Amino acid sequence: MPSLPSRIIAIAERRLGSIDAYYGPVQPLIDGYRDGQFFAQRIRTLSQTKGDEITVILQMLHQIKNTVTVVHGARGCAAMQNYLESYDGHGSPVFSTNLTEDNSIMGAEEVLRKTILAAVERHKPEAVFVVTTPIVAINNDDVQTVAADLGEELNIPVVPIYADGFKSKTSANGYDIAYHSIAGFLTAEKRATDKKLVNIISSDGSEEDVHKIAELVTSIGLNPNIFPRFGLLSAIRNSSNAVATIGLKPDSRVIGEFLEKERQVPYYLLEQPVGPEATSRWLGEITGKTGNKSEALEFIKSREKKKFDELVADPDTNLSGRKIYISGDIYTAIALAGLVKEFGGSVTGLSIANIDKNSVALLDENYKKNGWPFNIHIGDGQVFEQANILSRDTPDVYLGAAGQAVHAARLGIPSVNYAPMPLYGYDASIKLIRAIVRACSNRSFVEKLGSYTSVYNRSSWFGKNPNWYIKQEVG
Amino acid sequence: MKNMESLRTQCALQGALSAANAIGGVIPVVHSTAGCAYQNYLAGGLANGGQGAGLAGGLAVPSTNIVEKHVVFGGSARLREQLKNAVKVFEGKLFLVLSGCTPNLVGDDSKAMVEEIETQGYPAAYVQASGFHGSAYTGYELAVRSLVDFASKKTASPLTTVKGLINIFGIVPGQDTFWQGELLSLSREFSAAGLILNPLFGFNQTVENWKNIPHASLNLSLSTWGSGIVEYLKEKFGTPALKRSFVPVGAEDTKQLLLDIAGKLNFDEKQINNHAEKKEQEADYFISQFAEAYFNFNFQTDFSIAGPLSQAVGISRFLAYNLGFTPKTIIITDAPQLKDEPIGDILPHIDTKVNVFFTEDGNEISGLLKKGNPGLILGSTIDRITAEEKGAAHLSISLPVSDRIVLNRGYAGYSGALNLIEDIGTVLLKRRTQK
Amino acid sequence: MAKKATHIAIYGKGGIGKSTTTSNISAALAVMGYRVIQVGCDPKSDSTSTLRNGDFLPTVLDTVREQSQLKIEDISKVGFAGVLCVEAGGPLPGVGCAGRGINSAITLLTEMKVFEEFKADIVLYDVLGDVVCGGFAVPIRNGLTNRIYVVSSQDFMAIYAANNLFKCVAKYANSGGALLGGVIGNNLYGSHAEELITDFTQKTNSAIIDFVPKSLVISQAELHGKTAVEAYPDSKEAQKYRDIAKKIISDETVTTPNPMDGLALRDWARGWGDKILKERTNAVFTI
Ligand SMILES: Nc1ncnc2c1ncn2[C@@H]1O[C@H](COP(=O)(O)OP(=O)(O)OP(=O)(O)O)[C@@H](O)[C@H]1O
Ligand SMILES: [Mg+2]
Repeated sequence: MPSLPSRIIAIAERRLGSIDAYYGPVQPLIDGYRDGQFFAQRIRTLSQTKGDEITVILQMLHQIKNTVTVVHGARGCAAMQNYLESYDGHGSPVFSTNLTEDNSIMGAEEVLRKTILAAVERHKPEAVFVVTTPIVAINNDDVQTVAADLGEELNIPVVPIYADGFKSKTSANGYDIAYHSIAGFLTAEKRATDKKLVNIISSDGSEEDVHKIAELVTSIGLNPNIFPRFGLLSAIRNSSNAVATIGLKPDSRVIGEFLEKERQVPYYLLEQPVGPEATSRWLGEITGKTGNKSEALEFIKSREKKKFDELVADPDTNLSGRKIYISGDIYTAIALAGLVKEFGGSVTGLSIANIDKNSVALLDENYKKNGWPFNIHIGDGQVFEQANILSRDTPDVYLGAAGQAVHAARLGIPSVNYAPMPLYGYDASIKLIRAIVRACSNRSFVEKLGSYTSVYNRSSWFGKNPNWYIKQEVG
Repeated sequence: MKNMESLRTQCALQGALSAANAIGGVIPVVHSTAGCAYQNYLAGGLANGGQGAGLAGGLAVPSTNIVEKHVVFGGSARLREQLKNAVKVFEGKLFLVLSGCTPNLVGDDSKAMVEEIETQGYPAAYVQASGFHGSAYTGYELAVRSLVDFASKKTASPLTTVKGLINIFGIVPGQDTFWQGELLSLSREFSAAGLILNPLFGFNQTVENWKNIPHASLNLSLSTWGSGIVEYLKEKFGTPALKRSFVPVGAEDTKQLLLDIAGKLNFDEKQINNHAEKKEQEADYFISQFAEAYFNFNFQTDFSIAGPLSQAVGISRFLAYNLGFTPKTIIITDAPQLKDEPIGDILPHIDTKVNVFFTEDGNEISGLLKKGNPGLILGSTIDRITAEEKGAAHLSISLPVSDRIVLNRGYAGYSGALNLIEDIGTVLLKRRTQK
Repeated sequence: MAKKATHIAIYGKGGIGKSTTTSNISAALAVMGYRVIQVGCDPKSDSTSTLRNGDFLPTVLDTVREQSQLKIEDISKVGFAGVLCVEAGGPLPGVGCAGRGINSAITLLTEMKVFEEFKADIVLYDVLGDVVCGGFAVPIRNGLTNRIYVVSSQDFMAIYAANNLFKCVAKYANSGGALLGGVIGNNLYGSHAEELITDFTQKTNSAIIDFVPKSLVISQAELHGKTAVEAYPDSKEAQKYRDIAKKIISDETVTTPNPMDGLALRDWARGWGDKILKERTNAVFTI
């Protein structure tokens, strides 16, 4: 039985004061979270599509080895599995209960049961994840009971993940929901602390980056225990015995804090090791936090730095004079801002997916350090707002993840999608820097795109403040 | 057992959205939870030959992104507000509201919101396309009906019939990977034969083209998914309908289709025959060139194919009747409801026993493709793994297609067949060099 | 560790007297010294009105729309004898999804740890009408409540609703769902009422808690915006509610009901109808 106090976890808005809509100066945002207060909720009266809890959860579960995922809902709630199978490497099978109108009215517990049984029969997984979606959140299928019964019958964990798909405005809440269930169903009691074992939480990102992290951790004499993505269930079970948990992004917080509170494994959320300086700091932090006095560390630092300096001598990696706009989750965006600075460029604007009472500290710290002169945008996707902002800021390059870069490019701005690029470690990010330089030096493609028709009513929309459709929430 | 693993097609909402994205000037406004349109973009925009989803697609799709409070208290007001603002920010000739599972379960009156914005002078229409209504193909049908209803209200009167004007349905944007290429290629063939095709989707197609629907002298459906639509149009405007279950690939089937049309329209067959003759000469010329490679590298093979019916059958017929390839297994991924209909006469005169299956369950498909050790597998990119296991050559032709970029390439018509020969020849050659 | 409160859900056909009964039980328990929370699970949001003189009380769901940081005071009022009154709230008729509303309101109360912080001994849920969709079954499922009680009169439609509820309880019985405490007869009149309800409970493996007759005292109290327990503490009605309250808090006996199927229920009802009709007819003749 799960050792969790409650079946579900409060949404990010109520738990963390998470905000996903804002455009304006940084200071009021920081002030809004002072003394345990939450910044007042904002809503959009015009919005564009974006990922949600389900999409975040599916990309995460897809790379947990020897498992299957059953999406309990209409087939569209699992549609992205085609994308995952195509571009994210061959991962764990995704099933859909493929609910029909009839199921939505009459309930579909039996369909769920049958699908789980078939999935287990076909793949003999070590665990099954069941992800709930809007239909079952509304018709209130008793997923908990089906999961518990089958867990017993099949003698493997059947882990319900109550995504629902409309709980929070913040898609990252999906990580919290998933980790809440993973903590309850898949971790084990602590046996004994292994002084060399470090948990590395991999919620998203490329396999290459995860391997890089493993390599870095190994280089200072520790054993990485990587999960959930690219990891085995045994890594999750073993996590209670680690000496520390390292999070790469705040999405690791729920599992990190669970291990800290329930299994006495301290949790550290460190800045991302992107570029030489951050990577050295990162390694230093880990050796410190794990009590591991690695002589190797200084050697690695100086060796890698030297290698790196040689790379940078190359004119293809010089960003001086380049103004760069960065979009992404706050941890990545700030890590990239540091990187851009390291290579001589400057940041002209930031758009981050969401912010909350925890991550605001990072914003505060960086704002104090850099005194950004620009307004900050908070929005997941919402490329119409970004287009408006970019029409004012006119950066030399736009750095964004996945589907966002193309929309900046459609405005004629050289753009780079960093999502598929390796970022972690001393020199991986050099690829990104080169891509930025390349984007600036040959603009023919984006210029063509920029002259093509636009979907926006530019004269009317670009004349308005980008925050025109962001309102403080009232009843 | 119901299809359940690695489903290839998306849901009705997503199919309707893909259709909307394929028409210039249409701004889709999705009324649903945030991830619905986003998953459509990932699966249909990126994992479908990397076609993207157009200017108002991908992350640009306006979506109400409803959350818990809209579920509990209703989301109509949220849609009203979204529409009121969308018409100001987006440049659109039609705002097409697509409402998904959640608003429909809680009973939002999306239609009333659309009527409201219409009375304010904005062009708007509404499709109720919940994911639970069915697959993306159903969504296509639903969207087309709404679009027809909307556009025909604006059709210039009198409703005169334009001789030779043909509306085409059943080639489904976002689901059929080669939809754009097929439409372009068929348009060319039709116009060379003296007919005018109204493709309705893709390049250069806007709401204006939809307004011409009632003027057509024939409505043509090239798959199951167009037959309901052409029937609907027959009822609505009295336009005759012609239904075929597959997209013609190559000379024979293309010519036959054109002749069938001519028959239906009392059209002079001479022009069609002249055009066909020229095209056949051209095809013969290239096929004879292809013969060198064919025999040098022993291309003759048996094959298995998985894809939507219209495509799988069209391609199979060409390979069987023109290239001398032997079909082993045909897996129909889009039309489970046809299970009981005989399709034995789709591939007549082939001296072999073809196994035909109806499933879109990825696991079942790979199991079926493995059987019989075909030398060539045509299916999704995911079936590449099966092909590699079996040492078969592999070409991606149906969702998800993620190892090739498909923009205006198609296999329909005369020129499409040459594309198909090139693509198949290439993968057969590659397998040879890889061995 | 804080002691765990007993959670009780009260169901029954619309208008049968659930809110009246629940509020009177709450009032009686509070007077006995228990810490009581009453949660109205009905979009009408009128469950607790007789406990707080009809004062305005913002509902849980209304408040959620506005604030992200919630305090218990924002969504509750202390009413008669210290009963903490909460109304889940919900949409206007014809829009939205009231079932999901119940679900999310209860989730929120759990998240906010309202029951722990108030140190409740007992929590009573007054749940809207028939179980129309899964949302209204939430209080039965997942071990949220300890026991279910059903309010019913002798009317066939009320019995029908009770039988439906039994189906729901039986469905979740094997998976940690709450079981049935029993039936509270209410609004009873005529000579056969008690006998009829008793027969129904015997046929369905359920227990009778008590019978409350149709009473002017109760409706008069309501017109004053009060429970009978508060307005007429010396009345026999108040005493009845105190008895019921005592039974509910102390008697943990539950059964898994065995509902009748549609035809059996109809035949059963016909049988009773015939019997009553016959006796009445006989009565007429004997005059
Ligand atoms: N035993 C009784 N004697 C007289 N009147 C009663 C009795 N029980 C309930 N009533 C009256 O019946 C009416 C309906 O009662 P109440 O509001 O408690 O029902 P309910 O089941 O909560 O209804 P709803 O389903 O609408 O919430 C009220 O006016 C109430 O005063
Ligand atoms: Mg009531």
